[in-house]
Amino acid sequence: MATFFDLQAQNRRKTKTVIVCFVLFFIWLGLGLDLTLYFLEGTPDGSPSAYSTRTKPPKHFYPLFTLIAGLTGVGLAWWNMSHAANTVLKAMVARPADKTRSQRELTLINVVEEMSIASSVTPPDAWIIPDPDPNALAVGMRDGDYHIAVTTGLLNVLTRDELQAVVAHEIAHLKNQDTRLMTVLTVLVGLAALISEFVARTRLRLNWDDSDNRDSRIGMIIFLLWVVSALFAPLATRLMALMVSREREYLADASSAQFTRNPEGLARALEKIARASGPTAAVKPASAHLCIASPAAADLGEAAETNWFATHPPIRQRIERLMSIGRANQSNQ
Amino acid sequence: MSIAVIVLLILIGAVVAVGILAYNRLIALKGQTENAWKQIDVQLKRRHDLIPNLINAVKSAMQFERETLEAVITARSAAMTAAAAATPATAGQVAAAEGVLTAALTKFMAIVEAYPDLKATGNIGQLQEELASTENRVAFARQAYNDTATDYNITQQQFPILLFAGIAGAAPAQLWEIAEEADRAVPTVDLSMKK
Repeated sequence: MATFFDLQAQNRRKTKTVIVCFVLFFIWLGLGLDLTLYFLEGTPDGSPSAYSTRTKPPKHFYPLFTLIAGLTGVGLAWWNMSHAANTVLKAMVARPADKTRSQRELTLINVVEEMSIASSVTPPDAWIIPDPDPNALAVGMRDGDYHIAVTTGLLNVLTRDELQAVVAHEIAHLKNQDTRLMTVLTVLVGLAALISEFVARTRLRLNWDDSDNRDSRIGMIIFLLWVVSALFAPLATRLMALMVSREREYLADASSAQFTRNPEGLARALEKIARASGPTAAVKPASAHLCIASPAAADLGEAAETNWFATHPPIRQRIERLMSIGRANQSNQ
Repeated sequence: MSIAVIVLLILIGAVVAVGILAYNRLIALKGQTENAWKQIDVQLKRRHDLIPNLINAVKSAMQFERETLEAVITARSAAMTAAAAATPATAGQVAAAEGVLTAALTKFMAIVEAYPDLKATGNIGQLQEELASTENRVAFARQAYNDTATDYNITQQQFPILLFAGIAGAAPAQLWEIAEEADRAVPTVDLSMKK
């Protein structure tokens, strides 16, 4: 029987593995081109060399493209992170929750504070999204600038305990820094698409003629591999980012169970959210990975199989995992 | 000869590096544990401050439940005295005083439930929500403290960190256990807004 601490450790390990693959893939995207240039010793516009390698001037390895790929990625990620929170909230026409407005909003504000105590996070601001479909999401990049927004639909259908579990899930996204992680990954996916576009449209003219030269052959093999991986980069990076997104959902579920000590509460809430399977119109697809459940209606169905292009794991599987945490808790007592 | 010196230097460097990492981790956890403890204090104080409001709101309608009101007030002042001198070492006493207060409040809320006039006022609904939230906050602050303190205690005993526990001044933190069996048996107030 797995406790929520076991599940959390397991999810963190899996995320790390995927992130390492991601980084290695990007290093390869830069390094592959550098290595090709190194082995072929050609310049993109150079004329074929008539000399053999022995008489060539000594080769130098310049990790030029590795650096370009790396720096662009870091720069874009930084820019995106410093501009994200308010844009997302504005796009959803969210308004701050007001405790004098209704008792449900008072409950929301209280529950957000309770969960910030349970998770030792600075209390996030509570927001209301005017949308009848039950959903919730977390925004914010650093402690002190955290926001949690829930739809009016969610406030109307959930009990206090269920609302608490959903808020705990969103706080877990903030505490585990998923907002940050997913922003960086989204930027990297975009960067991969750029590189791929660049490769598809450019005809690199390289120095192919020394075909009996060993270095030249290594260079050609590396170059071919590189072109193939650059062309598949957008798909591969997108799948990796989505894989991370789904692991982070399981992690947030397990953390919610830790904070509320009530995994059944989240399971019941997910049940209700799945039943109201309309799309959440107010939430843009770009913020989908920060929601409690996918805002696209198609992903809420009964499908038991993991969809490779889904931001969230199937709700059935999430409920089952939560129930197994619940059983583990009971057998421990 | 020189290889032996280099190996020795590398070993010393490794030990120092591990020591620094272990020390920093212990200090960070100690800080988190102390912070979590203070959070319990904050929430207990919040709870104590809420009680007078609660009593005032129902006093006139509940004249003949004087005994129940008195019990809450007495429990509150006892809990405040215990909380004023609280350190992780005296967690047991604070927990006991708070347990008495919880029991008194539970009885009080059960009686409020029985007064339809009181329940009908919107004000009471809000107070009930605030009280439920306050009870939750205390419970969650306690849970966060116990989670952090457990992490701190386990880390201190792990190799190789335990070798540096003395230097970092790390000592096991006492967990906040529920004091008495009787307290454990008290059902929590069900104020969930089920319709």
